[in-house]
Amino acid sequence: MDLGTLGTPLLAAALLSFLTGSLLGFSGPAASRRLARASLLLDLLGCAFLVPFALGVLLGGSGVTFPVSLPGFSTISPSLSLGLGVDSLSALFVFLLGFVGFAITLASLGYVPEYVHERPATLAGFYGLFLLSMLLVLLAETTFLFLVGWEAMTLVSYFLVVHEHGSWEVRKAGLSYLVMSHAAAASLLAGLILLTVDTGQFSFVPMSHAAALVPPVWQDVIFVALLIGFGTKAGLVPLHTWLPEAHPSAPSNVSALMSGVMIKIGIYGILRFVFLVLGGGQLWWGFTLITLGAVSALVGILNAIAQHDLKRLLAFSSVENIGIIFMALGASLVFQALGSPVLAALALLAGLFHTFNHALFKGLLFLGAGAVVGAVGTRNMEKMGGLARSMPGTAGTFLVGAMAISALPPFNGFVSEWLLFQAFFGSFATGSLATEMTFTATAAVLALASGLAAYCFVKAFGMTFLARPRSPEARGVVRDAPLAQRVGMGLMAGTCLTLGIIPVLAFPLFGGTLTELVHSGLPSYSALSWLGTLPRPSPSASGAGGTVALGVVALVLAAGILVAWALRRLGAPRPDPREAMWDCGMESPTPRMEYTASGYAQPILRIFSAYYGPREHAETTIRGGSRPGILATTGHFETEVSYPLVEQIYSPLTRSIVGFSRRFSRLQSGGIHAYLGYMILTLVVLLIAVRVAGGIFP
Amino acid sequence: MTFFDVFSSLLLLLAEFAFVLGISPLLVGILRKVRARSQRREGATVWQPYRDLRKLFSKGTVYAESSSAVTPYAPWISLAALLGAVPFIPWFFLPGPLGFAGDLIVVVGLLALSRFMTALAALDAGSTFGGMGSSRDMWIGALAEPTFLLVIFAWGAPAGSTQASTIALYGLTLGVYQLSPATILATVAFVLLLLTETGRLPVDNPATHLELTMIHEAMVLEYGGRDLALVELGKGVRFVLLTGLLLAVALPWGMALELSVLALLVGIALLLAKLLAATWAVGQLETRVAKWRLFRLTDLATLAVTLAFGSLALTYLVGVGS
Repeated sequence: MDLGTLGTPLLAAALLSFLTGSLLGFSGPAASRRLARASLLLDLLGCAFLVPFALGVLLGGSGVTFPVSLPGFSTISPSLSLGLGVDSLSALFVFLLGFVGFAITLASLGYVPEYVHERPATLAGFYGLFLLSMLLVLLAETTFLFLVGWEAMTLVSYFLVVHEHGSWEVRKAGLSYLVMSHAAAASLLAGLILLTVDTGQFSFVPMSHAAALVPPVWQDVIFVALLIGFGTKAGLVPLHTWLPEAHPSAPSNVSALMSGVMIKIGIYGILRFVFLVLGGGQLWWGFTLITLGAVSALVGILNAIAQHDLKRLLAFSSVENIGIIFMALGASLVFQALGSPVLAALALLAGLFHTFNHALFKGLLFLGAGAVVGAVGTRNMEKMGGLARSMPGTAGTFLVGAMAISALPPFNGFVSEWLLFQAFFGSFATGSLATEMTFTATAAVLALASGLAAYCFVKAFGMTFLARPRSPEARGVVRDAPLAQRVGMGLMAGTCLTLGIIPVLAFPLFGGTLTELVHSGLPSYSALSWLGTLPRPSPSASGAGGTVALGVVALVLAAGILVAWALRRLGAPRPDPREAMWDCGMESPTPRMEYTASGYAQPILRIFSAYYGPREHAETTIRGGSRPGILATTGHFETEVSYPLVEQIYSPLTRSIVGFSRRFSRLQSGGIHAYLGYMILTLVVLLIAVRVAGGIFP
Repeated sequence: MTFFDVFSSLLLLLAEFAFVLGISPLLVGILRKVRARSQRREGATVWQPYRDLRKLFSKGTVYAESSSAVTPYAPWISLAALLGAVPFIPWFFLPGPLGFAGDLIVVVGLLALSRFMTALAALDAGSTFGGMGSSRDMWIGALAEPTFLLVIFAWGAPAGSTQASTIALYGLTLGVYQLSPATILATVAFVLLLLTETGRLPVDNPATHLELTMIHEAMVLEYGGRDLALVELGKGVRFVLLTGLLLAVALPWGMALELSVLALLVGIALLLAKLLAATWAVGQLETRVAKWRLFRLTDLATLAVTLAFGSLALTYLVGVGS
């Protein structure tokens, strides 16, 4: 069966499923769980259609753009193009949307009816629209349609973020998201208008042909404008401040979709416009991306460590991973500018693979967090603990996600970081001193970030799932996440493991995009690759590159687990002999004496105090009780982490904007006639302006 | 690849596993002996760790009431991760039994995996000491990671590969010139890393009995019997791995380059001698320093990173692959 000819019907079916799915969600009582389930089932179907559609383009086609015409549209007028198209790059991201979206939607089928108590059907309706709008951005083939899709994506996700708008914090997070998104959209709009005007093209393919003629200065301006626009959506430091507010506020399946897929659309934008349309640009573009990426990785993970809100921790970790992806993109641009296409392809492969991997494990982690938060009723890790025994399915899959995100073998996160390290190591083959120094320093930052990520996720998993419950709510948890959610999370966890052992399974997906973007195909891999051996291409004749035998690693680990399992099944008495834990001769320890999330993170807060500026509040009362004056009766300790970026830049900025706007609030009379007057006035002024400008610049 | 090749590769691989597992208690015994002697004590015989392991293996296991499935599986996964790194380091045969001795970055990953599992298990029972050790070990490990990577880059840059076997083969072609200032600086940085990663003084005192100063010991307080034996074995294997890596890269001389009995015997004998000497040296080094205050360890990490960067700076200046 040729998937190529099936492309249009598959896409039409997907669009239709999302559309009817969301309409269904809005069609009835908002509180109806049945309606929510039906709506989500249609979304699931839509995602299922997207996967073969994208695979057909990625594996069947040779990366050519073909306009997608819906039946009926082309007959109206041949010149009226729908403005939709697919190439390898968009197909790759459509595949990401379809595959990860499928797993998240499957999990949502369990999550939404179980844990969403307010208006589940409305949530499902917006969820379908969200998928649809992201698909629209990816398929847009003209700047106009791209911006329409972009705006729709932002607005729909805003409604999802403020779904539980009863809480003030959620509304505040939503507002911050909306404002930052629109400031970024303005920058994006400016960049795209400049690009359209300078090239005289709306459509991406002719635009990329004409872009080489744009003067370099304007190319630089466009690059900066687009970087601000897409960087904000992706969560790049210092434009990330909306992300750790908005992602935790949304219902968890939406957080999963936002962190897993939506912020990747910012990456897609960079790839589409900076790599493809502008053709890679100057050397400094690449170095800018690497620097911003390295800063994002460190800032993201350091802030993640300091959190005790589980979902905020995950959101900051997304900032870290976006940083890693940006490092890879920057490295690829630098290699391209230096004329090393093989290394550029290696770095880009690392970036694309990490994009994919992060979507998988972050989606998984947010879903797991959603189940935990839903069961315990708080996002505060200090109130969790011991959930591995009451929610074993959630704990197991969350652990896989935590290990994958900590870049541990044999999981996919390790493979993408390994590829990136190899790309950085490749800088020694370029002979450029600046590149060697920057790339080795960045590699050190990446190593530190992944070490800190392991620290962060031992804390996240340990505080949430291990030890004894630290609150009555955590003790009261008796049920694991719903079956559909566990299956969805299991699907993602399984993919993380499979791609960690046999990464070359996923490589054919990236081949077309690599050729399209950096004009060099996949690094060659032999038949041995199917055993999990991954060679690094050698850019110079002298080096043999590097090889990693993931199959061997997986085999040894599997043997270890098997032996442990067999000994537990066969040799040991069942159940295990249990005793009270070692208490150092004290009275029986209570969960209050356990290490807390704040305590766990304290050393890092102290070591990096120049960054955090931690302020500690401690109060202890020593009185009363059976032994007066010896044992503290009450105590309270809290660390507060300062957030210099917000405190010193964003807050003053917000204050001045609000103050400035307040002066104009007098204009807000509330009368419609006045507003109509303003509109007429604006129109007249604009017309005069156009006239005058036309006189000056004929 | 003929059947004989596959067979001999497998045999060599098994020999390497057996060598690493077999020698690790001996090296631990030697470390203890050196330490005892330098403190004017007689100390236990160097074979004592074998006896301890036999004793522990014959005992049953007891778990804390509050622990989950992480506790029984963690020591196995942790040890398996360390053993998984064995084929990636050239021991006595180049280029290794699999025809390639894979990449050093995977060794970093596997050591991190082993640490990750131990740190999780430490949190499992909910004891305060476990949490303390877990937090400490993870941050010390995180700060050590950049050094490890930079040292790999510094060692690998001249050879054009991050593969241990390629680096070792390249070193053999250089002969004594391999000991360039850049390599020496990187190697000193690696020694600091080795002390950190294996929990020796001045980072951690493996012989301490005071819970508050413990790092690694605090993490494994809950273990007993067979599981404790695995943990102890793992500590030894970790030491052998890192020392073996250091020797393979810095002093690769004497490794078997062909599959002949004589060459292999010479390779094994030389490796044994080098390992014993290195262990003795680490023991001597260890007895000459006191344990550092916990937060002074950041200075050690910074020092190691600086040394590694210094080595790379020399590499930048001299150039690569000239």
